[in-house]
Amino acid sequence: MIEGTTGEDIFERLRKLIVRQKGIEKVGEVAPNTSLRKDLEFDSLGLVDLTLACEDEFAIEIPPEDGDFEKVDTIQEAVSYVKKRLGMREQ
Amino acid sequence: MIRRVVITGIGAITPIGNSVGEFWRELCQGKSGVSEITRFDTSDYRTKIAAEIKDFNPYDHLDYELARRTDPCIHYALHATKQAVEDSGLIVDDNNADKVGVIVGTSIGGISSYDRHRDNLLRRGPAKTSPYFITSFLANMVPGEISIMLGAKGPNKCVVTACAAGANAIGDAFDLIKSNKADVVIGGGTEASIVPSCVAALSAMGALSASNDPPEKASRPFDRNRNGFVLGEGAGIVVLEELSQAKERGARIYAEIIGYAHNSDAHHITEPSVMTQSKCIELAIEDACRTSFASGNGIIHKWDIDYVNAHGTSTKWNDITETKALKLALGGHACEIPISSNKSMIGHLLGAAGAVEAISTILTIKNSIIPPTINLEDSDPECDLDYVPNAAREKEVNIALSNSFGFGGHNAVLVFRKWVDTNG
Repeated sequence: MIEGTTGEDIFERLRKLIVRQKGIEKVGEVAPNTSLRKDLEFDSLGLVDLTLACEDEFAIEIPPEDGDFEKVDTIQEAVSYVKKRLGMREQ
Repeated sequence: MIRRVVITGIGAITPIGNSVGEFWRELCQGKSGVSEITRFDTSDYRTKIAAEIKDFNPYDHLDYELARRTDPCIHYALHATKQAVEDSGLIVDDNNADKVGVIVGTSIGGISSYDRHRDNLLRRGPAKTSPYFITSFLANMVPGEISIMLGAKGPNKCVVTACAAGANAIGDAFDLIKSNKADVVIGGGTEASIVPSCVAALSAMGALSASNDPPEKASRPFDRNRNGFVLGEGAGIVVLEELSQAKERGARIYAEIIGYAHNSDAHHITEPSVMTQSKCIELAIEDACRTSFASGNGIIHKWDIDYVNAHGTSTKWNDITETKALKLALGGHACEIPISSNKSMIGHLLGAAGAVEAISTILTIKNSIIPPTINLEDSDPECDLDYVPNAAREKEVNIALSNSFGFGGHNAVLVFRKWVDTNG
């Protein structure tokens, strides 16, 4: 396992990216089941911005046409997606 | 019955103050906002000075996410809009939203964002391009963001006429209300172009002063030793409102806008023209005359003009051309009235200049004080009018002009009149 890539680590790193984009006041406490679109009010542009930030943060590639990524809504789903991509990177 | 238009709110962020009160106080004291550029390393640049906005953190004034994804030109515009709307006491809601418009100008738009995103594109490739690249630099995002903030659903557009943009925006706003397409319009201009690309490019044109030491002496309109303008930044926003509505809600009225004209030199991309500037001044006075006559306040002649807020950039060409144009349009009367340039203190705010200077003109009328033209120590023999040198002057001003002229040959002249209840 690469350092900083346990589920908890990814959650915390992802939370920081979201705070950087949305501001601490809006984000506050986030939980695994917090919805990016409904709870944090990410629009389509905001989600693309978050995707780019994730690519840099985790050194992964997220192709725009990736159907699995389209389905991501909660933070937990995002953590799982990043984990999957990290796993693909290690192979 | 003619629809008359009055100013009921003003807001500004300028190199000499981030509020109207501070701006006006410093302006009347003849204080310069020009200093060494702090935004980037100017070692390789001929011009090392500008009139920057100071002590302004957009995150202190705007929603975090909004501040993060928008350009400083939008930060300034939103900050000035908040001041102006609060000052006017205007409430935008379902009852009036469709008749509240926004017309705001800018010369260059979100240039620092453009440069940053383009650098990123060249460095990291298209796959790493931000989704906010386009929305951060488009000029029309300025009125777009203002309408979103206010819920203003009336006519909305950006005016892009270089250094005349702020004046054109206020003039177009006046026309919109006169023609019953809106009851209220948020009008003005914004600029945030103190960035390497603009300083280098304007310098290449020979437009910028390189009198770096001392910085506060570089902008010297009408002075023999002037050698270019000093780049400034900021925003000016006014609330224009149809008179009967403003009176009905008990709004405070700063001044009435009674005339507007704009035309084109059709001559050269940067060289100004005496004939068309002069014509524009004449047309603006004619427009003011029509407004005044139609509202039962008599006709207006050129000799009724009490003061001119000059474009006065501190370039060789502008100051001579504008002086000649004023003489041609006003005749001997040009020699009898005070004319002053705010740019001697705040530099040239490009697309915001006409708007910030309109605010200064309005306050001159309201407060009977004419801000000076500073650094006017040795008059250019070809600039031989009364430019209110170096010290503010108390004078009753009833009718005033504000001139703005832009690259591309754009000329715009606004006419304001003192508001007294008896002329309502």
